[in-house]
Amino acid sequence: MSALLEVSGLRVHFPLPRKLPWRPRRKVHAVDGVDFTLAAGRTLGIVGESGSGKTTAALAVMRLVEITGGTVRLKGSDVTRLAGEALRLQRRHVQMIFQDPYSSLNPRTRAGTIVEEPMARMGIGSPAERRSRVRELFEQVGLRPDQLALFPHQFSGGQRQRIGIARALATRPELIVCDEPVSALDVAIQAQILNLLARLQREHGLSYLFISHDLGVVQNLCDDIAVMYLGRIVEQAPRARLFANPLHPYTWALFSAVPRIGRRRGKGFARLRLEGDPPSPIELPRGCRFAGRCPFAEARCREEEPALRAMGEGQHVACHLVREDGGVPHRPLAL
Amino acid sequence: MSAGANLTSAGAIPAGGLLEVENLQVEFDTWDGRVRVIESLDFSLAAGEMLCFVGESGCGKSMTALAVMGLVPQPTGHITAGSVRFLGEDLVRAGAARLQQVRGNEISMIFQEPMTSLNPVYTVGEQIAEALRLHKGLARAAARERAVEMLRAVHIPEPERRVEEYPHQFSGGMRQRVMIAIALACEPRILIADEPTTALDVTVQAQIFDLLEELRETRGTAIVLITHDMGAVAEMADRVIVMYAGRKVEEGGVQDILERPAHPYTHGLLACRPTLVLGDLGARGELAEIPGVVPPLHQMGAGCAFAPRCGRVLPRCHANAPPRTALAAGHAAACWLLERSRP
Repeated sequence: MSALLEVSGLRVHFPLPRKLPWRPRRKVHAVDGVDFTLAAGRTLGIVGESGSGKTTAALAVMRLVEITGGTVRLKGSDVTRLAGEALRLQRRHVQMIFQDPYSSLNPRTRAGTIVEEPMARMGIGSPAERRSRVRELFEQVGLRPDQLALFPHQFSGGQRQRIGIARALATRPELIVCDEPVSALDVAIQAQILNLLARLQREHGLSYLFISHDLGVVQNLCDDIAVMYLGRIVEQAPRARLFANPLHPYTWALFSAVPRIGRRRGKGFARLRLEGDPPSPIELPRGCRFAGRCPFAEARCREEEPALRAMGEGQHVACHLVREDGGVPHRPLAL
Repeated sequence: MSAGANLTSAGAIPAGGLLEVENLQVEFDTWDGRVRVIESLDFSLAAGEMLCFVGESGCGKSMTALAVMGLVPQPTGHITAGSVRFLGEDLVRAGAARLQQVRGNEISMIFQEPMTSLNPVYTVGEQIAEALRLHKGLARAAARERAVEMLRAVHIPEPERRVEEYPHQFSGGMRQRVMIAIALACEPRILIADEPTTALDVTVQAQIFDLLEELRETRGTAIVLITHDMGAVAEMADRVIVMYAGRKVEEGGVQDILERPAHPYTHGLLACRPTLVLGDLGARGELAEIPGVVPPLHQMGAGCAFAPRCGRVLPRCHANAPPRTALAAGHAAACWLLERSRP
């Protein structure tokens, strides 16, 4: 299995302004030691709540935030320290689809020009070739050629997201980073965009790094899933494994928090209620980052930070309480 | 302190229920002329009931809530027909002063955005106390005491300290709890929650849902929950109204809607959402799609509003709007397919 993307020990810290000149500078530990690999043609989902660092990790892969430590390798070559023209040229291999289709398109630029722009910037093809490629892309994402000259405001949210997808495909990248690509869309439109992303992946052998907070969406689209909490991966597994047998108490809590059709009030479902909010990523707690909200936490959890351990069949978990034989502190999910 | 003691209208709840909305019609003046955003809507709400409105954006869910509250945006919006009877009193015909008495006191509302619904320059305690001073005539000290009590009721830790804090010192989930505390301070009979958890994380959403459920059980508040998430409907609702383009397309008990959906739009809403499945999903299939988008309201023809997106459309769907067909007790839908299958 050839890895397209290898991220190891990734750290992204944002320094905060000093409160007083003699005080030490504090930092937001947005991503704090994260490893993952993505094989060509597959989709890796990163899930987590707001503040878990999932978007920052994606931006670091895109080289859109400054990387504090660790490496990002694309097709075996280290892109962590690329700069200037080399970085710009590298961008044709990695493109991004953004969350908000309203603010991620220039309102004064026609749809066709928006899609053509990445090719023009990278000097790909002649103007005539680029124009025919734009028509081809419009067709692939389900837009009509007569919409080429329209402005973004003349499209619906779902159609705008299609423009964003066409733009991401323009330079024929191997890796597309999707940052919550459907969360701003209406329920009925989400399915249209998810099906489009799945079809494009089949047809073009694309790899996706898929950031989402929506577990239903992630289960539908992703092959492997990493669960992040406060800048760290707490559990990582192939899809079937994770959803059948979540090991980390946080993953379990996350699953049990999602409202589901078929689970009815009064039918007596067991929900693990997590109290409170995640702690501040500025002053991190000692020990396990989840210990403060974990209903099973023991003294050891508050002292020692658990490392990510392999549990077999590609599943990894960072929790002291998960036994070597796969025994978990929570009741197994049975609903 | 009971809410009943302060009621100006009849204390006993009429047989019809707490809230009776009949033939409600709301129109807006736009550049494209006058459009009808709510078309002859009927529904009722009983005390202690959890009623869910579900549909895509632009289907009139929020506008229904605003019409009930007497908050249809002025001067472009108009309630052109129908009545909203709260304990027998028609709020459509009530004056501004009377509506002011009802809002926040008898019927309260919480909104989607807990970040923008609170005033940043007042402490949360003052914002809770304001409603109590206005509606219940409580003195400052008494109102503050009650504010602390409300914060405790919505499970905010250290309420005595937090009551003096400002909204920016609260997280998103905590702010929504403060909003709920404000809404419930006067012990209203009805709480309208318009997508209360859309801006929140799932674990926080679960906390808010549990809280709403608890408040309903302990206080008997009737709750109208507006949502687009069928999962939330499944977990929360007693009864469901499915709206499309300003019309009620299906209505029924939660069991009917989830297990025996009759309208193709309800089918679509249930099928298009990638819901979490515990266990191995197996090979992933295509998600069912509802093609297209909600049509602009000024382009609405004479037929069924859903016809252009419907997979089972009949010729007559484009010509005439389908009538309401009763399917079972309390379960009804407006679709020509049901008309045909009827004996």
